[in-house]
Parts: sequence; structure tokens; C-alpha cells
Amino acid sequence: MPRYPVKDQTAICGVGTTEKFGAFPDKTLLQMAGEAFREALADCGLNKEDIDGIVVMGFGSDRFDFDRVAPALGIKPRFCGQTWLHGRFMGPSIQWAAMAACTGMADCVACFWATDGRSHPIVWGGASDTEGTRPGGGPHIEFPEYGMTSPGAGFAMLMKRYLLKYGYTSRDLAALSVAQRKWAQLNPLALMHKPLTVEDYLAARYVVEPLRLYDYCPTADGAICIIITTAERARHLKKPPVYISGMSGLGIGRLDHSDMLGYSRPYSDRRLAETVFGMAGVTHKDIDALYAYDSFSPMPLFSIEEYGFCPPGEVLRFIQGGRLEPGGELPFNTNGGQLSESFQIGWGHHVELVRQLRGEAGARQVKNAGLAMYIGLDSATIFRR
Amino acid sequence: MPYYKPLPVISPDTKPFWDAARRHELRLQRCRACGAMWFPPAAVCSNCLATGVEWVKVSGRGKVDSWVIFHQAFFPSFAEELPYNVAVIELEEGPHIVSNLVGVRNEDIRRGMPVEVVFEDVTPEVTLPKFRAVGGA
Repeated sequence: MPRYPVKDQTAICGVGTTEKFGAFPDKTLLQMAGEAFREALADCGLNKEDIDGIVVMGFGSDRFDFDRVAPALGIKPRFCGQTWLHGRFMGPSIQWAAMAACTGMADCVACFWATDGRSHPIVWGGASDTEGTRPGGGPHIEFPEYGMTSPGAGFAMLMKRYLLKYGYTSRDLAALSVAQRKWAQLNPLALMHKPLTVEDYLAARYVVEPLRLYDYCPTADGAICIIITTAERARHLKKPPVYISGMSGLGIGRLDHSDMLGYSRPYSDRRLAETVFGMAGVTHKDIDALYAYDSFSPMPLFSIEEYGFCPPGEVLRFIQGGRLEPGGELPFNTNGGQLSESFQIGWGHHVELVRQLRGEAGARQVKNAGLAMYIGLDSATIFRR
Repeated sequence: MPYYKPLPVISPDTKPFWDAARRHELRLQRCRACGAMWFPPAAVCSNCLATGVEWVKVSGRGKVDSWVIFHQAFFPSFAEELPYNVAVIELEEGPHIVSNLVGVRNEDIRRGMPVEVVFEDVTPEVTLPKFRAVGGA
């Protein structure tokens, strides 16, 4: 058996989204998922009867569970995966589908995401955050008794240490949000199209200092469906296959007992990077378009550094001068990222990278895009045309 | 005086920490087998997996490693204190702990500033360890 049996054995064959991301108060999660599913099926030419596996992630006012989604959409799966809302599970949702198809547990796996966070807003943190109340600190260093709450605050804490340790300022941080907005302006699906300058970024209010308004992403209602099948099957469908070439994760960002707070990023554990690059047989230099989970700006910055796209301590220098922007050296989050597209926790990034690798990205098209990579803290996947 | 802020969730693993805080002591766990120390509390040593952990009194001194300033009240009970700080303190003994810095203006917080623990009796049952600048009021 080869060391990496899944390498290039599966492919994304179809993607679909709701027509837009936005405010759809009259639509339910299941309804939006149905729209995305129809689009994804039309995209690849499969019928719903061909779908024999599902992976489900959703977040909103109604339970988006696999055993509601499948019957509602007329799917009879023999493989099911389910996860709750955490951005870290998004990359693995696609990876689990690839593993299922590769092992023969399913032939065609439809992965679903749906959210109604714009029409049914919640406070991200505070009393509603039960995971944040777990003893010994929540997953983002939450300690409610001290007022430490909300996922963004945990990353604000890490970013502050990074800024101090390496001598950077807020102005250096602005470059990421500014770059993302430039790509978003070329993306019809993106919520935010107004130009964003460094001055606009700096003038906006602090949320949890050092993070400001434009270090956070906007919420929106929407749904996305991504269909994965075997490489062989994908080659007979409508669109060019997007092969899944390397995978790693899930890591937990906690290295040893001295770091039980999860406080060590950016960190030097290279195993996740070594696994994904080793499996795909490429290095970071071969990546034509890079995508990183960006609910808050520190996340993609740490991703860029942790996977070796820049030396340790250098990411805030690395992103200056338009390097990540349209026309720059490293096309990055070419959908505008969550920061400017909306809170689709990486599902939108996957749709975008598929379109890039197929040559369907229109005004955003990266020339000769052959390899794309998604980094999801703490997982990564490399996709190949 | 009624206290409206969230109270810590006290579990079997963390109870000794909070009992010590009520006695105005800062205690962390230390592994009897290998000497490792850590925070937050855990019943097993993640270094050597021994279950013989003891709770030792630590000096209460440390230095500020990072901090954030909340400009938005996710808990309404914190609204009056906006903007308020939360800090990660590196204790002398090694582990990091999260708490509030008291008696210092947000704009005066510096990385590496020496701090020492103080204890705030917020309810008859719960005392919160917080930190002030060494030599502070």
C-alpha cells in the first residue's frame, strides 16, 4: 500500500452556492442547502441519486443535522459525517469526504454548509457561549470570570503578543484587510465592495484591541455544497476535476503541557505542513493561489507563517507592498476571504479555489493556476488541476 | 453587594485552585514524578502521565506576556468597565495564567512588566486572583 493512498485519488467535481450571500430572513437552512445542492449537481452533471455520502456542517437558528439534511434533500447516504460549528472542522469536512470516496465507503459525497447568521444574529461570546465556559479555559482562551470571551478575543491576545514581540504596528496589520477587499471587489458573491484603505482601517473602532472592525468578518445567510467523487468518476463529469492531492490535520495548536491555553501560535511544530506538502509532493513555492481561514485577521497571518510561506516573525512584512493583492506575487483569498466575502468559514474559499483551478474565475483568474492550498487552522489541503 | 459577572465554573479538577484562592493563595499543580507544572488544572501530568499531582503554593509573581482591551461588552455585566483589560501573565514558575490587571491604566500596560497576585472576594464563595503592578497600591 502506498504511503499516501488518498493522494490524487479523489476530486471535487461540483460546487454550488445560494445565488448570493446576504440577508434572507424568509429562507431556512434546509431551503438554502437545497438551492446550493441543485447548483452543485448541475455543475457536475450528477443526479441526487448518485449521492451516497454526505458531510454536514451548519450553523444557525435551526438544527442542521445530517439526519434532517439527507431526507430533506432526498439523499440516501451510506456514509455520513457531521460536525458542529468551528472553522477548524471545515477543511476536514472535505478531507473526510475524500477519505470516504477513496476507501470505497461512498462514491459521491455531497458536503453541505448552511448559515443564517445575518437574519438570526447571535452574540459571538458572552453568556450564550457554553463552550467558552468549560473549566480551564475555552477553545479561544475564554475565561468568562475575567470578561475574556469571544473567539476574536483569543486571537487578539495572540496578535498583541506577536505585534509586541516583533515590533509591528496596527498600520502593518491593515495590509491584510486592505488586500482582501481588493479581491472582493472582483467577486460578485462578496458582501463588501466598498474600497478599503489603510486609513479607513485605522479609523474604524477597536472591538478587542488590537483588533479593529475590519479585522473581523461580516456575517451573511447562505449555503454551499461541494461534491467529491473518485478521480476516475470525476474525469467523466462535466467540469475539469480538482484533485485532492495533499491533506493534513486536525492539529490542536497545543504543543505540550505548558501550553494548555493554546497560547503558542505562531508555533514551530512543522508536522502539519510536512504532511500536507509531503503528500502532495510539492513545496510552498509551487502554490499558485493560497487560501486561509480568516474569521479574524490573525488567523490567516499565522497560517502563512506556520506553513513556511515566510520566515518566522516576518508575516507582517511579507504582506506589505501588495504581495497578496490582485497582480501580487501570492494570490491570496481571491474571493476576498471571509473578511470581505462573508462568514462562510472556508466553504467560500473552497468554491473559489475550485473555480480558479478550472479557469472559471473571470476577473479574479490567477494565470495558469495549477495548485491551490487551503489552510484552516489546524488543517491544510492542497488541490491540483 | 450583588455580583452579576460570570462566576468560574468549578469542576473537580479545578476546585482545589478555587479553594486556595478563597484562602488568598495562588496554587498550581506540580507532578510528583517529573516536577512539571502547568495551568490550567488537569488531573494527569501531560508530561509523564503520572496521576500523583500536588498543589503547590506559587510566589504569585510574574510578568505580563500579552493583553487585550475590550471595547465592546460581550457580557452586559462588564459594560461599566469598558474599556477593560484581560492579560496573560507568565508566572515565575513557568506556566501562563489569564486574569485582569488591576490598579493600572490600560495605556500604561507594558509587555514584561512585573506583576503580583492580589485576591478579590467577589462573592462569599468565590475569590478571583487578579494581578497588580509590583509595588502598586
